[in-house]
Amino acid sequence: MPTPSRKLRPWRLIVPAAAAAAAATALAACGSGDPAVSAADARTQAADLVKVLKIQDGADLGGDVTFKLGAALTLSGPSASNGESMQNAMKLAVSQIKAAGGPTIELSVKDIKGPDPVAAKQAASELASEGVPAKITSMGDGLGAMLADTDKSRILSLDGVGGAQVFTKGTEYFYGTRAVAPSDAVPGALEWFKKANPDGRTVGLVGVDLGPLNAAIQADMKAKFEAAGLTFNGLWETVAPTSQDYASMISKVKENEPDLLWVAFGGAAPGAFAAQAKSSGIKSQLLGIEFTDEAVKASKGVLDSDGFTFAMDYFNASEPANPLAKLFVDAYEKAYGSKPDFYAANAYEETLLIWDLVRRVVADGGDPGDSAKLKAALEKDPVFASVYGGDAATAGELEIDLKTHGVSRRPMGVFEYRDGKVRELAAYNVNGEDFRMAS
Amino acid sequence: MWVNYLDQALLLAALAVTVNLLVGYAGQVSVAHAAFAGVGGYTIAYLSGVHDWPYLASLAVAVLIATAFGVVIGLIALGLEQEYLILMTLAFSLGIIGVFATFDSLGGVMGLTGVDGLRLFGLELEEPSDWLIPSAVVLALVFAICRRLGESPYGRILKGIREDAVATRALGKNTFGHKIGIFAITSGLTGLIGGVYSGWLGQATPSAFGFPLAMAVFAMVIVGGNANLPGSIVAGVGLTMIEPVLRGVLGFQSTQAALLQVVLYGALLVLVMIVRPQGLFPERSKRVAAPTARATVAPRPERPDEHAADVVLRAEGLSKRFGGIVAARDISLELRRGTVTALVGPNGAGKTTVFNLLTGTIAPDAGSVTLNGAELVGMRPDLVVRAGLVRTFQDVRLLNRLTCLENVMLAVPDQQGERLGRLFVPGRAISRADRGVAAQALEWLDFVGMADQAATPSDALSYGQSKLVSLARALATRADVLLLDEPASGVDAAWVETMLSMVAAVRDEGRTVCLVEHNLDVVRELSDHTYFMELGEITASGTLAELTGSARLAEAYFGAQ
Amino acid sequence: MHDLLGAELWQLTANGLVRGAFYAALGAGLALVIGVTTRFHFAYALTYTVAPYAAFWVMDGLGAPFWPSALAGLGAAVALSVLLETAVYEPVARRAADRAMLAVLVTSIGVSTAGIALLQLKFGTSSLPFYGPQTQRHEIGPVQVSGFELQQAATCVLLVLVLTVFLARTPIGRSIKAVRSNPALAAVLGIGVRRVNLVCFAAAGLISGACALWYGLLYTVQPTMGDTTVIYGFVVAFLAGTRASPLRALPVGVGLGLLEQWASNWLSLQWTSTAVFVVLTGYLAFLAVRDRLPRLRPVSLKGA
Repeated sequence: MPTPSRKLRPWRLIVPAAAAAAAATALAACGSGDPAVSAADARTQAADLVKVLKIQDGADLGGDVTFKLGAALTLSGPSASNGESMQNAMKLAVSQIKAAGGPTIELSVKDIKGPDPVAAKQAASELASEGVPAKITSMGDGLGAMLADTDKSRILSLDGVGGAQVFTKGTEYFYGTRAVAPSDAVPGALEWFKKANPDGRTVGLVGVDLGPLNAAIQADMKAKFEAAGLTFNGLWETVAPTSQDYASMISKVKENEPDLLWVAFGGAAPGAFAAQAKSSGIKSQLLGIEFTDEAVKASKGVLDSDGFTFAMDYFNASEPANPLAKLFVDAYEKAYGSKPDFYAANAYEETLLIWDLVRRVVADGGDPGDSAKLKAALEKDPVFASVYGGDAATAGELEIDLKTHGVSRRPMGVFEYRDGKVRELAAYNVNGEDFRMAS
Repeated sequence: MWVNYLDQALLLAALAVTVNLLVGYAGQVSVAHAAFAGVGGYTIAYLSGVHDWPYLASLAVAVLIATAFGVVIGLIALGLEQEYLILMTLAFSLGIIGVFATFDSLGGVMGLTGVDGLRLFGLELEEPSDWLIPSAVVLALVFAICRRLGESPYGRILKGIREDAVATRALGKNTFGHKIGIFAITSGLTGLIGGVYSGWLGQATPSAFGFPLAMAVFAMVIVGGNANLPGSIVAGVGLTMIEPVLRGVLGFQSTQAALLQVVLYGALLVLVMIVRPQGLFPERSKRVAAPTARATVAPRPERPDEHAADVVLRAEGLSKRFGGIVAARDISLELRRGTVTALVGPNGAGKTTVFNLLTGTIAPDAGSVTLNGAELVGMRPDLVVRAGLVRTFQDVRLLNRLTCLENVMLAVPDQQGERLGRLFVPGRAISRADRGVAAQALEWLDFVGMADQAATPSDALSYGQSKLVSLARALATRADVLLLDEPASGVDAAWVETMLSMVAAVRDEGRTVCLVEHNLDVVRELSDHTYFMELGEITASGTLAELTGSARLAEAYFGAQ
Repeated sequence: MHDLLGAELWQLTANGLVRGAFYAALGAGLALVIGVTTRFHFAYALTYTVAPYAAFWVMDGLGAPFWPSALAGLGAAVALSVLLETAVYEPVARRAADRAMLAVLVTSIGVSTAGIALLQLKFGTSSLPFYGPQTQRHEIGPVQVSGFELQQAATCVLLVLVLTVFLARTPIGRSIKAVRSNPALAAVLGIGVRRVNLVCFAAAGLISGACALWYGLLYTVQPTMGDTTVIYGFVVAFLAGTRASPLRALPVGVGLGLLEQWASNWLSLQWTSTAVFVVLTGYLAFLAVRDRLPRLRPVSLKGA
């Protein structure tokens, strides 16, 4: 029997392993993201907030209430940065609300990893057992994994990442607070395309595989293409979101190149796709459905040099649309040192929405910890303050559609990113209403 | 929060237990268990979630389908070496999960979510705490089944397959059947666990049953200890509960905390492997009672005259070609009852090939072998042994990590506990029978003078000792005819004497012996009749004296001695 | 239409060849490690990922130009690979004795997950802006390839060829082959098994690093980039045979690459990788059954 010639002392090996763990702890500690909002800052911001939200003097702000707000965010995995910025925005909103004399909101943040179904399930059951009446959630409630629990545990859930996607239909306590991508943005975007490229005729799509939903989405998109007088050229290629090697996809595109190519990916993928499309000489007008810094990083400079056009309810942090947005952008930048992305913006306005509901329930003498009361308050008047839309003097409005549980109105547009700046090309609302080209 | 993690921990521990039966006991390193669990999970999500079948019924279907898959994989696994088995199960699991993800009726990449309102025996399964009982019951059931299988004569065969499938088959055990059986059983159990897992999750999605799950369970098995089922439970619960513990310790949720958890999990795995590379709990072996009375071999009063004794085994015209090489040409020989026949010849003459042909290890191209008049050609090697023809190996081939006693116990024929049907009959019949088997085995060990080594793992024996144990093992099969491949070569002089007296004793007991041996002193001492082989042919036969008298043979072979 | 289909097929074939060379090199490196050292080297994914990360760190943090940074990345992959063997696998294997294979497998899973998470802690969870020099497009008939793709394929083929020559022609290469065919005998002959193992890990680190750097130039550098790659590496290594000549990895890798790309001609894109694994399972099932079709035959005949 081959016995070890000399006994190895395990301690010699434990030391490096422990050192690695310690190094990791140190790394984690220096990067931990508690909001750097000073009490003084929060107070001045809070005063402005009360003004911008036009809360009447003497109204009960819910200062006596301690409210448990859950969150189901992707803090790890490929979409980790979304979750991180959402968490930052929520913390910011919570400290402002508190400073404004509003409720003490205790955040209970759960990581749904990616989203990973097991982690999503775990998050759902933990939030249920903690009895949170409401939560800020993401990814179509973990790509559908949490939806059943959301209704079962009656947690009023606001999703500003996925919005009210097809598969969320029929849920009771789930609401999407952003436009459904790309469906809601398509009519206006096509309008823009016809104006910008009068010779353009054909449309195709590449994107992420959504399984059985593909057919429904395709039918919806096709109808919208035809309504706009354009032709769907039959190009509809989807892949699993794991790989960013699009070679075979691109060879399919090259065989059937449309004038307008929807790039229905999220996160870093549009950048990777644009870079690969450029290097293989695809000439179609690419039109993304989402834009983030991730994509810029993944594009190897192509997005900076060649630009990237996308149609969505983009939050333009460099040109805040209204005082609420400006307040948010300034406070966020002060606290975290960078401009907020649209994930952060959506989470921020959702937290304010929850505060609004708490105020309404308190005003009616109800218990804000009762999610049914919160839901009733929402249904009674589904209009809330928004960082989107509005004008220089008034905050925008976020209106929930009680039928679809999505948004009935949402300012959006076609934008172009180039050289670190985002420029608006056209602005419109759901279904292409109020369309105007940017001057 | 803890209850939900506990549900998961119990189910993953159950998964680890089944995988341990397959990997730890039977030595079949397969990574397909996550996919089998997926088969179970998708089955219940489709039947109960989409089509509102009763949960119990869909669980039953899940077990059936997973078992069927297990049989198929087991059949494929039979013909594959270990490396290819890993590759095949890897490809299979990625393939099957991919196939699930292509069917729109199975939810495509999103999977089937919102599986809700399941009931089991009138029990409403809504909250995590409701799932605690089913999870615990499944773990208990799986543990009971796996333990019963593992720690029984059935499990001994599995371990035999793990150590050396060829040697195990040469002791008369149906290794093919057991291999397929163990794949079928473990995948059926995995399907059951997967069905409960999906019920608890409320969904069946491709990523829930992906490669990370397979690896996590694998880690549990190895950390807990190969072939130690309680170890798998401890490791399964322990490794799953690291996450909530770390979350509690770190106390905050952020990307950094999530990554730190992963780092610490990985570091812990490495640490455990460095400190206890055999796993937390090592494999246990059979306890032995003190040796009882020495086996009494009643020698026959007188040895029958060589030619008068009847022929027990007759080979006629055996031929075998491998490609262009003739390994055996027209071999005919006879073994007579109660005699010792020797097969001699230079290296590479094909002596071992003859043993392989006789025992069915290699199928001859032509010829026949009859044992007491019954044809052996075409019979499975393990059935040949059961018919009464056993062989030992030149390279001994003891089952290394089993004790000497277990090695010999494995050889005892017709053990009730080797049959699945009998194993799950309540009562103590099996364990009583197994004590009988142990006593028998101990007698045979005692017969070769190795009883005091009964509890020694066989890889700790000296070469000579291991040859004795392998003789005891062959004797324990109760086969009438023993083919001994070089029983005395490579053994020092003292052991040669012992071996000689053993073989003589066996012969005197009335058994028939054929030996391949280079040591001519041994042949001279023992053999009644000798065949001489060269280049795959028997070219001479007679007594050793006659053969050594031939000038040509002396030059061809004996001269070299 | 017929013409178009032809052009697409050519393009897919070119893609398949480029990818095939990539899979082949990865597989050859992994096969060397598995075949010679018997280490189930899952952390191959880690050495693969570390190369572009280290290169990025040198480029971004120290402001070095691209090619020296790439070299540094390569060096990091080699160093990490050797470090894994000396500091982790070897001690674990020695202590685990005859259970080494599974113990090392679990250890390497642990190292790999922890290492990737550490990278994420340092560099963030998203993809890295890993830029190289600009590349040209080449049109060869109906086929279009980028300079990087050609260079990647050339590098990969070259690595396999160099590895083959190295094993066949150099003294240390012959020692490696001796250890691969019989470690015990090689040890008796005075071949330093430890040194041989280290050389194998260095070679595997080099190959994984080179492949990853090219991949990073062509596609995206992200923490999970090694996950699927290592699976393809294992597939090629086992299919080609872990104890066979590295040259055998070439046809296997190219076959896999072509299968994957061609599958997209007939199947919807999201199903192509599934198709690869289904075909692979089928092929292995065929291998398993083919041997037994005439009659039940033993798996090995050691006694013969």
